[in-house]
Amino acid sequence: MDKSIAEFCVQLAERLGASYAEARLENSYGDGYALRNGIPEPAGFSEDTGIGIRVIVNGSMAFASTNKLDKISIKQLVVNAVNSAKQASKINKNKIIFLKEKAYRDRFVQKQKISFKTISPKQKINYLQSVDKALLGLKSIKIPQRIFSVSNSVEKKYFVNSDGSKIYQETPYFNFLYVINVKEGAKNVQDYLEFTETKGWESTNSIKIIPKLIEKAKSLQLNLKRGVLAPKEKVDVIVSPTVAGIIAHESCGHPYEADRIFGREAAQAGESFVTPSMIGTRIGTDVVNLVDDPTLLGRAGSYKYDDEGILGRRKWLIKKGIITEFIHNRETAARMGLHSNGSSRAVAYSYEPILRMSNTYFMPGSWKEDELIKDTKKGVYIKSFTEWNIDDKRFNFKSVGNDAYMIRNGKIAEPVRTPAIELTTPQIYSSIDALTKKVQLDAGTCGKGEPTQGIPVTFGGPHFRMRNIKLGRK
Amino acid sequence: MELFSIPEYAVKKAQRLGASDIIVAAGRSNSKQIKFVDNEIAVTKNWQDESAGVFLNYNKRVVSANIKQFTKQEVDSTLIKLVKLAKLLPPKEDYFGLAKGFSQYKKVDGLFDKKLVNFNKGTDFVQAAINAGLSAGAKRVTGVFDTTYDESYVVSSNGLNMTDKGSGISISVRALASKEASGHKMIQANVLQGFNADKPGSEAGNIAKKGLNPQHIKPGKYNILFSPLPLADLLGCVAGACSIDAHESGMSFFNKLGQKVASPKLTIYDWANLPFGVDSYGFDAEGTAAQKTTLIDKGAFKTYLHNFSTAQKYKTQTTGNAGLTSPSPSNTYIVPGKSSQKALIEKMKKGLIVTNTWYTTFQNYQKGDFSTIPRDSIFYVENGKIKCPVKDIRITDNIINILKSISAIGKDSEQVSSWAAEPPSYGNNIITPSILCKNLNVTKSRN
Repeated sequence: MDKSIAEFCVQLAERLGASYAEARLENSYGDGYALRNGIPEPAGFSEDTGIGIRVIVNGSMAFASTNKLDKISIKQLVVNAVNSAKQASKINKNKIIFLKEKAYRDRFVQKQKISFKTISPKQKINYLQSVDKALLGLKSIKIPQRIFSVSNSVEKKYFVNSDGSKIYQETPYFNFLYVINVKEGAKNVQDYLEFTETKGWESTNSIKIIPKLIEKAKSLQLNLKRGVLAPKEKVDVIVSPTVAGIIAHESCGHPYEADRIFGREAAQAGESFVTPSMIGTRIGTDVVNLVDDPTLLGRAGSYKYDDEGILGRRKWLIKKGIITEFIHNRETAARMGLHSNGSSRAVAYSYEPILRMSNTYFMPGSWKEDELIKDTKKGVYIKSFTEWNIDDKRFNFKSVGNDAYMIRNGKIAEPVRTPAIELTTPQIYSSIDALTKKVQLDAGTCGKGEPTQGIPVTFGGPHFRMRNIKLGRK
Repeated sequence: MELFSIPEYAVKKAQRLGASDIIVAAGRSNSKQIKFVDNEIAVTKNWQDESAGVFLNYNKRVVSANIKQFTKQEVDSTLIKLVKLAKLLPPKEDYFGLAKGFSQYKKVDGLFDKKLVNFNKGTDFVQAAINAGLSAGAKRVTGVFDTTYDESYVVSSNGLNMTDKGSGISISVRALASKEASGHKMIQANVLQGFNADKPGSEAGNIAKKGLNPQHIKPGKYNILFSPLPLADLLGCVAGACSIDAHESGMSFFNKLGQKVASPKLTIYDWANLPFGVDSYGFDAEGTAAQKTTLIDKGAFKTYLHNFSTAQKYKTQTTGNAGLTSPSPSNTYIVPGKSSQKALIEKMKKGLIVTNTWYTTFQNYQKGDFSTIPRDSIFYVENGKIKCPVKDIRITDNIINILKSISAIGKDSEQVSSWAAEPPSYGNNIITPSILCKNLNVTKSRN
């Protein structure tokens, strides 16, 4: 990468009148493979190099990107961006302000223990075939649809801004995705999950996909064979880290994104039921603690510096049931008189950096899992989910269990078919009375922005219990 | 190497390396966006991109890659690497080749407007939309305005050799009269003529104003009149489920040709050569001429969407829907009915008008069980008249049930697409009237 291109962009933008300028020069290379019902899908590789710039001129913002990296194209790109921001500033009454932030000069390489380069395409396809073979080996379970994909990429990024930051970051991404369809007579159930880590090929060891899929296929078949509807009356509900994760992401992470709170995403991704004045107010019980933390090593949402050059850090979104902090970038933080907490991300150079979650999860409690089950007289234990959604203010949440069980007198009993949690956000957080000690995170791809940016994140938590919940029965 | 000299060169080079069924496409694009928030411009964006992509077959090993550096050395190296990759893979036994391509196709009208090549009057359209929304009663107007221009050149080893140009213009306006009362409208087109940002601004503002002070309703069964915008999401899923790719992946709720899947009132085309269609084209990615394909005819499921290879596999004809690796929908066209909006509301008697939805997710793609969340103003209708706006509901039903429950189709028609399309939708362009459905299941947060 010719880093001088990025530096040239920032210097030129400043000369043309930008009060703030940044440039991200990026190169990414990756390859991907898929197997559908045992047959290989088209495989391939891709490489992309380009630059994205952002300027603030007279309090208005412009973003531009290109993969044409000759000096004439780059110069024109910057000139156009500055002019575009100037034109917008003639219409705008309010000005975008970035507070002065600390400038960093750093190089951060997320190392791969087993480099993607050392694994041949044949080995990657063999990996998928071994997963397929393991599922086909379950002779008593029919799985007519089996889709597996594996892809890996390395993203190299050089960031420079007019505050003086010069940051080089290199991040590997490993991704595995499965979709399975388990049949039992005329009935079927589908399940899909993705596993993303910012690691090398060693992720194939850490995700332990074969035992997980075998266990999942068996439990889904059991659910099809013996699943009963959820109880009509209110019961206690214990959710697994997977279900805790989707709750954390949808009903805490998203509504605490300050750009939603200030209405910047109202056009498509929506707003938030949370308002700036709700900092310090109670949303849940004393035992609820929830963070967003990009500093965990090797996770899908992990990074050292965000795409505004701010050092990432843990944010306590809820502490002891109280709304404590929002997720901020430089623009939203300044609106609240704060400094950014390092949450601005873009999926590639060709996307505007916007406010995103990283790794969002419930902090652990003090219970052991078996203690929690034992302490529950009548309840439903929901291990995984399928259909889920939440309204665009993040108030009305729903998730439907895909793998769930009755709890009777402190013991796991018969499977439960599609129990639906359909609750408001305050109802969820104020019903939690106990959390276990062990936290687990799942990976996902979160969509936001125009055009939509699907960014890698994780979400999770420990098991937790919600008291007196009326479940949906479809 | 000049970008558009790559396709011919690369096809010949790949042939020399032993590959067959080669497609090489090169393109450049210039796109602009203005994002506006609370009556002001939040950010302007500009994307300039040049790219080239290769698809090839080597003894039933199918691979693809992009080329981002346009030197002869880089093109050669990518092709050598790609053929090497193909040789390492197991065969794709269900691959049956590439369609024959041509160097001339029937032109589809209304896909390109030279006025959009260097378009720089976006702020005028944005201001018009904002002013119209505010005049209609909104307090805040937000949205995105986009224009794009692209040109491409594609060559295949089966005779395809074509250049093409396209352009686009769209505006999506969300107007808010209060935190709980909003309206959303969008328009999209390929040409400037007739594009009017006042109209969606004004309509969004009007929906927002009428949505003030929404009430709660009980969960249960309701007749629902869907405006075109929410149908972009729902019918996008229907079009996606018609792809043979979705069927083979277990992601389609259409399981058998000829099956009655909808009300006899419903006829849907995949219409790739629709004049002025936002997703129209003259030829697909492998060179089959675009066509109009009936997907659902008076309620009966007629065909999956195919490329040449999948059509061979299923002993049928390609529908001209090839993407580089799998078939996908073009414009989804719903044949309009005869009912006016007033007539649809009167016919509904009691029920809901849903002006937008979002977050449509499936519990089971093959069964079609799903839920979606109405957003923006929702109106409760009693005795054929709008009684009040309502809030906080979810439609929890089955897509086949919804299609079968269609009781009337409007004579209006809008060209819309969904922002956050989830599978099986491809987020493609939908041309649809308003649609009235009977007795759909509405749920709410409980406890």
